Parts: sequence; structure tokens; C-alpha cells
Amino acid sequence: MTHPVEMLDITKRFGKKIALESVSLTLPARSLVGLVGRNGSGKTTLLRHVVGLYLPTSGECRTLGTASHYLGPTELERIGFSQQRDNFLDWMRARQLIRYVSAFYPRWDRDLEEYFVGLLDIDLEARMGTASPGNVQKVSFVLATCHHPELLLLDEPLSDLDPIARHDVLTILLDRFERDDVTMVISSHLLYDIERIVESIVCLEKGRIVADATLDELKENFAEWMVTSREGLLPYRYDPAYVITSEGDRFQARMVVRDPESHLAQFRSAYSAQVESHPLRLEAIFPLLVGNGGKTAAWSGRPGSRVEVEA
Amino acid sequence: MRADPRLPGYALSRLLWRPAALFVALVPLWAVVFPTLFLPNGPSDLMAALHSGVGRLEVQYALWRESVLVPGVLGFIFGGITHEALQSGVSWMLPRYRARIFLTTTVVAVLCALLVAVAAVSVISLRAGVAAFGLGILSFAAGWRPSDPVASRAARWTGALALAALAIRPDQLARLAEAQAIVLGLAASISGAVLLGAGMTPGTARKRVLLPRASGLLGGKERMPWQSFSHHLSPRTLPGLIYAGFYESPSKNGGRFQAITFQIVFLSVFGWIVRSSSMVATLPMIFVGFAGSQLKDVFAYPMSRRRRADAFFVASLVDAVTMAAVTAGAVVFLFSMGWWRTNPAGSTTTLSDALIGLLFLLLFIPLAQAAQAPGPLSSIRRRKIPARQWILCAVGVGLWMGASLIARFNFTPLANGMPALLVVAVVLASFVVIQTAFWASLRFYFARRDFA
Repeated sequence: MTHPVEMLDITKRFGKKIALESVSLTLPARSLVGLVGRNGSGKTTLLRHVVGLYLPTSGECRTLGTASHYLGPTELERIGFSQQRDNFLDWMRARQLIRYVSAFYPRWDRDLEEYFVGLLDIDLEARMGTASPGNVQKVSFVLATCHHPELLLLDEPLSDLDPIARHDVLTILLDRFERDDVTMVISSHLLYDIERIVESIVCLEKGRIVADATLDELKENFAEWMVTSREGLLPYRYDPAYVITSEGDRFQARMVVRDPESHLAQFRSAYSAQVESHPLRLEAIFPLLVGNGGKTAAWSGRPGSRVEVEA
Repeated sequence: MRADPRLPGYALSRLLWRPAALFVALVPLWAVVFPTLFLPNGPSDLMAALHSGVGRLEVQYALWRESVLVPGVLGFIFGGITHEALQSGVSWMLPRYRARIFLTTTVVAVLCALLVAVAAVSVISLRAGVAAFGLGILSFAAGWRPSDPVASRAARWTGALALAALAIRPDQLARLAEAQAIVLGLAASISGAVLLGAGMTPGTARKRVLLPRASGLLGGKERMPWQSFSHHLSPRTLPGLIYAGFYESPSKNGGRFQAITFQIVFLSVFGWIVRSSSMVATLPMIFVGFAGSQLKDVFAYPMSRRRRADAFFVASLVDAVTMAAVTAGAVVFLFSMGWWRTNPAGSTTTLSDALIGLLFLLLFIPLAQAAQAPGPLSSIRRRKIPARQWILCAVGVGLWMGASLIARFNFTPLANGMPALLVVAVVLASFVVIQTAFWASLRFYFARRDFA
């Protein structure tokens, strides 16, 4: 079966700078993926490879079964792409731009468009050059979604939106995911928001994939422990490699650990302590993935793999 | 009535359907009229030749020039419009977008070339019409490419060489076209088609979409060495304010000073070629009137509104005086070298005529410069220029040129009977009064305008 996106050992260089390095990624059909990473980690570069805007220096990228640099009208009609800071024709009004773009898609859904415009409260009479960034982002979202794409790529679709609009967009995305046979990739720094809808996470750091796993797998691999010892037997420093960060005193401690299920019983017996284990939010996991969680963490790159923590 | 998006040609025609289209429509009209201005009786000569089917040599020259200029200008306009669309974020993703744009653009190019070809057939011969058609296609393509930010320089050189060849030896070119009309027409058509097609390849489209729009100033490669002396960017001193304006005026040709030099040299050569050296004394001043080095909208300078008005005034004044001085030097140089060339059929210009014309352009230039006070007419941020600003600019330039012409023609006989010292005093006093009024009106306006 053909996957909507298949990237095989892609490296992209801009002069001396390596934007993507040996990136291999397969997105299964009907998946909802969050693409995360720090600024300049290569998220936009990766998405631009998927739509054929960038050509890899080495490796191969296939989108909807076609090499991405040969994407033709048949494939483009099935892709929706909303770019971060999309450039539109500044002189067009939102209404005119939507009409213009819709002319190129045979499957454009006018009812859906009107529904989105109403729900997102888009000012159709605003000219794109003078519209607020939020309005431009909403229009960009409408343009990317109303032709019922099979592959929907959204690069920072929430960054300029107010909380209400963000909620509406997330609701729409979930609704589309339920109704359409669509694969979605959402690149965002708003981890709290995308955590609510995505089912898997691809994390980039300095052009490399450092995590590619389902959200559940990631959450199972990290936990926050609240440790209590009535006898005051807790150490000031924890040596086990699975403890990533820790803070507290001899009676109470808060620590972030990897692979909690495997180590919980051993920890309890070693320190005669009570341990409350809480799952971490994506926002707390993210620094651990990109190596900024107190200790350097690296994910081997495949679902089911374990997190490797270097002391 | 709304256009049906499914109709062929919608992709391009929708881009043309905009408020600015009316303004744009005036440019091809000028391109039609311009070559015929060199005829003894102006456009009426051409119309008469078209009716009678018999043209003198001058009319044939004009037709050859039109076969280059009209498609070239139209190509430039269509190029600007399509490149703007193709640079937008969605264009890459729209299915069949480039194919549709390319198809319609080609149809426009063919129709445009046919128009001049029919004129050439009517006045010269069928074979000349074939050559004119090919030249038209090539000229359209050459005009279409320069506004493409990733276009090769070859297109510009092709256009420039064709224009120069036509201007210098139109008679020989006409004879060559007559002798090898089919071959020339075919070769030119194919070259034009290749040129147009090369601008629509996926590789070009990729670069175009990814090119940042505001790459002019801070894009590194286009930043000139003189722009790196940012320590001169002081809003506290007058030279600092002027320098800040220069700093914000990006130019691939090397900044403001080089642009002025380029304009003067280019117009001197071009004026000599087309036997109209007087354009040296007018066009550079018009460029300054349209696009000066006043502070633009790139940085939020920490300065008061009053200071900003002063900065605008000083930059305008320096711009005008610098350009007038350089132009006057060029005019004197051309006369002294005997390189001042006028159309034998037209009126001859003397050195004093040229300098007096220039003087009045300088005197009344604030009329045009005021149009830029609401914001620059050409901005690297590509902000939308409001229609009222375009109208203000057009009215300003019209008034400026009109006032200069009227003053010049009234002044010449008056000056003959006036003592030289009095003439200088009157001109100086007028200059001071107009500039003071300009300064005061700028302060009044800047105290009330919105800064975007």
C-alpha cells in the first residue's frame, strides 16, 4: 500500500548549512501527525520537500506515490498546504482570493467554505495586504482545506490565532479527520494545542528526526514522580540513569524519569519511598526530546524504540 | 456579472481585473504614441499611412519601433502581473496554474504581435509583417522576463539590443527583414516562445515562490557595501537623516548615486540613438519626482513627527538639487562635445533652452514630491499603494510638468528683456518661496498623518 508521504534518507543542504540530515519518515494513511521542533530545526524545510518546493540534495521524497518534484495536477488537487506566513496577492479581498483559488479545484466544497468562513468569522471584504495576520491565517486555512485534500499539511496554522479561533480550528481539523479520508501533518510550537488532537509526534532537532512515535508511546516513556519519604531517607542526588531531572530534599522530591514502569518498583524498594507517578504533557516532554531537559536525551527514531538518556 | 472560473483565460484575466488596471492601461497607450512622436506630423502621419497603405521611410521606422515597443511594454505589464501572482504562496500548489497562465499569456503575446504585424503589412509589405510578428513575440517575451526576479540577464540584453538595432539602423534592419523575413520572423518567434516557456518551468517557479518579497534591503547579497556603514544612521543630524533615506533605497545597481549616474549615462546614449537628447534634461528629474530617497517604511525611527517632516523635506531638496546639478553638467557636456542630437524633423534645442527647462523642473518639483508624503510609491515591503495616492501622484506630476512648461515658455521672452541679475533674483526668490511652502505643508501634513 502506498503511504501518503515517504521520505527516504533525505539530506538537504543550503550551501554549507545542513537543513535536513538523513531524514527518513513514513506517514501512514489517515494519520494525524504533529511536527514539532525548535526554531530552525527543519520543520518548514521538511514540509516543503513533501510538496516539491524543495528538492533534496540526496535521498528521495514520495508524496501520494509520486516523486515530490514531479507532482502534477492530479496529485496537487489532493493536497492542501498552508504555509507559515503565506504570501497572497495583497490587492485581492479575502472573498476574491477564495473565489480565485477555488477555481482550480474541481472538488471545491462551497458549503464547507461558507461554514468555515462563518465559524472562523473571516472578514471577506478585507484586502489581504491589510488584513490582520490572524485573518490571513484563517484564509490560508480555508484555502488549504475546502477541496477535501487527502494530504493536509499545515505549517504553523495556529500561531497568529486568538484562543477562540485556535479552538475552532482544532475542532474543524478533528471534524475533517473524522469525515474525510485525510492524512494531516500539523507543524506547531503550540504544543498544548496540538497535543489535544494529534495521535503521533515527529520531532526534529537540527535537521534530524529525534522522535517519531505515537503520543501514547512518548507519554509512557516519560513520567513525573512525586517522591515522599517520611523517614527522610531520600538522597540529594540520584544516580540512576533513568532519572533525568530531580529537585527536592531528603523528605520530598520531584523528578522526571524515563521508562517509569520498568523502574518504579525498584525505586520504591531502594529508597523506601512513596511515589506518585504522573504522565508528562507534551510541553514537558519536548525539552527532553530536543536535549534541553537538564540532561541530553535522544530518541532512536522509530516507534517502539526506547529513549536513550545520556548522563 | 461574475466571470465563470471555468472559462479559459480566467487565471490571467482575473489578475488584470483590478483597480490599478486603468493606470496600467495608460502605459501601452504611451508605448503606441511614443514612436510616432518622432514623425514630422506626429501620430497623424501613421494614421494616414495606415489608411492609404503607403508609408514614407519615417513611418516605416515608427512601425518597426512599435513592433518592439508595444509588445515589449505589454509583455512587461503582463510579466509584472503574472510574476506577482506566481510569487504568491498558493501559486505553487494550484493545479494547472502555470499551464493556464502560460497559455493565456501566449495568446496575448500572439494577438499583440499580430496587431503590429497587420500594421506592418498594411504600410510596408507582407514579408515585413512576418518579421514584425516574430519581433513582436520576442519583444513581448523579453519584456515579460525582466520583472521575473530569477530571470536571466539574457532577456534584458535581447530587448536592449533589438531596440538599439532598430533605433540605430532601422533602414538596414528593414531591408534585412524584407530579404529574410520568413527566417527572421520564425527565429524570433521561436526565441520568444522559448524565453516565455523558460519562465514557467518548475525550477523557475520553485525559486520564485521561495524568494522572499522583501529581499531588497536586508537580503545580504543585494545589500551594497556602502549600505553597511550603519553608524551614519543617526536621526539626530541632517546628514544622518539624508543617509537614512539613502539606506532605505535599495538598488541592485549600487545605490542612489550609482542609479543617478546610470540614468544620466543611459539616457545620454539612448537620447543620442533616438535623436532626442532632450530626454536627458527631463527624464532623470521625473524619476526623482516619482521615487526619491526620502525615509520610507522599513524602520520605526525614534523621531518626532516634526523631525520626520524635516527629514522628508531635506531628502527631497537634496535629491532634486543633486539631480538637477548632475543633469545640468551632463547637458553642458553633451553640448560641448557636439553629442546633443535632435530629430531633424523636430524643433532643435539650444543649450539655454535645455537649461531653462531643467531650472523650471527643479523649481516646481515639490508638486510631484508631495505625492510621496503618504508613503513611498515603490516600497520594498510591497505594501499596497492606495488609489488616491496614485491619483495624487499623477496630478502632482501633471501639475509639475504643466507648470514647468508654462513657466518656461512665458519666461523665455520675458527673460530676453530682463537684466540677468534680476532673472537670477526672481528665480532664487521663487525657489525659496516654493521650498518654504513645501516645508510648511509637510510639517502640517506629517503632524496629522497615520504612520503605517
